[in-house]
Amino acid sequence: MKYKFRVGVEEEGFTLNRLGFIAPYSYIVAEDLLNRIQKNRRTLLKVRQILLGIQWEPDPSQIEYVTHPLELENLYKAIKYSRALLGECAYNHDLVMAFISMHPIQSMPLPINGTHINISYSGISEARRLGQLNYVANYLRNHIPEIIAATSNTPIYRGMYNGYVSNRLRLSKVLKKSEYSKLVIKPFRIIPPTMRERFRYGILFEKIRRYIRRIEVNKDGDRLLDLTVRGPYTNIIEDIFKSPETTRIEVRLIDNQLNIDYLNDIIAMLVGLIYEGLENYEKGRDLKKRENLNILRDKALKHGVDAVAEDGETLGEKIKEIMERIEPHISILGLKIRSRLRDGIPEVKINQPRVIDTNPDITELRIKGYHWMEIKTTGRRRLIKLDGEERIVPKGEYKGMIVPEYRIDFRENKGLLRKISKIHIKHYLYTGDGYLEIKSGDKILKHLKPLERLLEVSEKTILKQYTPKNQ
Amino acid sequence: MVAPLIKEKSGIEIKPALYNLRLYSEVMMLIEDLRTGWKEGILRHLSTIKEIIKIISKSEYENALLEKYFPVGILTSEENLDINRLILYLRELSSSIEKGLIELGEYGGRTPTNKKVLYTYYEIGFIYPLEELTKGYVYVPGENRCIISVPHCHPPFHDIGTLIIGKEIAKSTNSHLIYSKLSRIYTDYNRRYSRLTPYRRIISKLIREQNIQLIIDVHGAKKDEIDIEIGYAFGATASQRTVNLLTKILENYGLTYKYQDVKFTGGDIIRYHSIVGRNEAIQLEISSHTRKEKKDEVVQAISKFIQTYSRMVTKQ
Repeated sequence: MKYKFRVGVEEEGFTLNRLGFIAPYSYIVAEDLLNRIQKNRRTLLKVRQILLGIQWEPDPSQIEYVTHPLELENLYKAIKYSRALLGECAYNHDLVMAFISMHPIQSMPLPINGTHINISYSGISEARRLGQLNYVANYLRNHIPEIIAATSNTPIYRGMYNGYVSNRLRLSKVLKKSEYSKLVIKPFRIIPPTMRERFRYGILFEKIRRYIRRIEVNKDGDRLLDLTVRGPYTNIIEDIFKSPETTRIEVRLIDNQLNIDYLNDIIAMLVGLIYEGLENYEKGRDLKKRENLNILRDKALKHGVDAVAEDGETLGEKIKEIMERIEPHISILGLKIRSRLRDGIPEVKINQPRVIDTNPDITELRIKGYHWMEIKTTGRRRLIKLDGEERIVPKGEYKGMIVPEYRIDFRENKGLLRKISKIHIKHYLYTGDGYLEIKSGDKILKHLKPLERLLEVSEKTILKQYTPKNQ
Repeated sequence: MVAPLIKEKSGIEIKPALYNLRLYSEVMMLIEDLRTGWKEGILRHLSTIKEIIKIISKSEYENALLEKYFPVGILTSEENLDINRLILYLRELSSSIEKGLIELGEYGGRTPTNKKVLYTYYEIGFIYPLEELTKGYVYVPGENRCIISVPHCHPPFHDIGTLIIGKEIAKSTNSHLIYSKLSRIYTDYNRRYSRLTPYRRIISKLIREQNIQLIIDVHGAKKDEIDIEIGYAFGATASQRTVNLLTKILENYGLTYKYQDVKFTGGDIIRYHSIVGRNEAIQLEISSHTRKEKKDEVVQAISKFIQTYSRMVTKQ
């Protein structure tokens, strides 16, 4: 085997309640896991073989598992095992683990999850040469639009399909675009102010002979990029003391895939592209910077596989070509393609819920901030009081605050979310007397933002008594 | 993240939080003029408020900041109010601006969350069926102008022992009692997204109709270092004088407390339902050991506090 690969996966997930909504109890899942491994040595041994650790994320509903850098043939089983394990821990507490990037209703845009894939390689020739790594990283970077199109999986935002296939990438403030990486010579590092708690120095001088040449993907040494190179020979401050043996490329732009087969194929695609890059480097092929990459990146996160590349081909067609091209390499490495990504069809095309909204026009206005509405009902409606008492009110015009009610239909197996099939949205008008049920066909007569409504009420009340004419 | 700037017609850029301050001062002056009935002043302030609202509405961020504690009552009221009712709503609005600004101060003038999180609390509605939410709480009426709220008392993931404490305090002080019959795993009543649930609407209704003056929100903390952690959102929900009264009584009953450098500064119930100058709200985080071992002392101390507070307010 010409090159050997190891891949580490970091995957974040949500803890959901039994109705499919975010429940901030990831610590319960972690506690359960801890109890398990303390009681059962066999589980402990297996877990430590696969997992590097479990990590907290900013939101208490998020939890992340991080695998060791694993050999490719063991990776699929490891991901399956890790997900199932966390799922079982959640199941014991009536929770569901959801490895999705955004909750279709509650992520606004936070909390956000992602999948980070770290690929290391070693080979028979020049494995540690920076030029080779730089070349490979740029080769992979040239394929960012295809990677986005293959992995985008967050088309629903605030309960609506809003025309983007990856709302996560659209809204993430953390993830930055990768620059074209280059080799620079700098025997010192400037420590950014954010890292000064960890490093006392503002400028750190290094031994002149070691790692003088450095790969820079981002001039500030930021590691939270679409794709970056990690290791002590980069300008990433966190990696300063890592082993010089490392040849690691980290890909962070990937949306979570519910189906493990898709995640497997995305890893296969990345490994395959790196393999191609290594071969091209060895053959001495020139690597050109892809023109308009960032424009195509933006097109990809909006239109996904339907985005049209510079040569007129869709990204879906390009993914299909890539998968065909890399299949011989990855089969040698012990990976096989398992999903329809082979045909250029990503998960976002086949595994998305149906949104059933009784009044999409209300939803649209509500999202724009119009929470006060005057609505004309087309028939008799239920008015539910605060104590639950119901009465029927006649057809007519009603004013108040619009409140959505959400329901999620989903399928899970032993605490692991398999599929969200439907999202139901209906609306109530809170009138002060109670909640008036709004049905499809009811007409919006007027809509205002809260401040506008305040102004309207104030003006009417004041001008009734103090008209300017009376001054 | 520093708040974005709005460009005025003159070309001078002003931090949006300043518009909140301007709106606040205009609203306060309008209230004053409405009370005295000075027509010229009323119309002038109304026109200025209109201009400010126009500017604020253009800035999504500023709008969201202002709407953070925006009172629902205004949105469900009729158009033709009497002046007294309007004053009441304007007072609620000014109080909500104060709370927003204090919260901004808690984060050193920076936004507490991602700037892109521009949604208001109206955005997320019910994540539990409304029919069930109406059964998701119990309200026991009282005669004292105090509400005891126990939002996290229903299993699973509940604060064990808080319900019995809440019930006993309400019984001994004849206060209104509201407690949850729904686990917080499904809907947490102490969060922004719950403001339109029946549990929270009942609290608002009681404040308006029964002239409630004090809300005690009972919670349970896991840590046992001290008996009670007092949350009052750095003075946004209750005055220091009230907190001093509470701490003095706690001391008399041999209970340890903390109100500075606390983990729980106050949840949404006390932050949203307190209106400065009208009613106060305090959150009590009672440690698990205290709930087990010193339950009676806690009930007696809090009951004593409510009685003393009620007398103090009545005298004023």
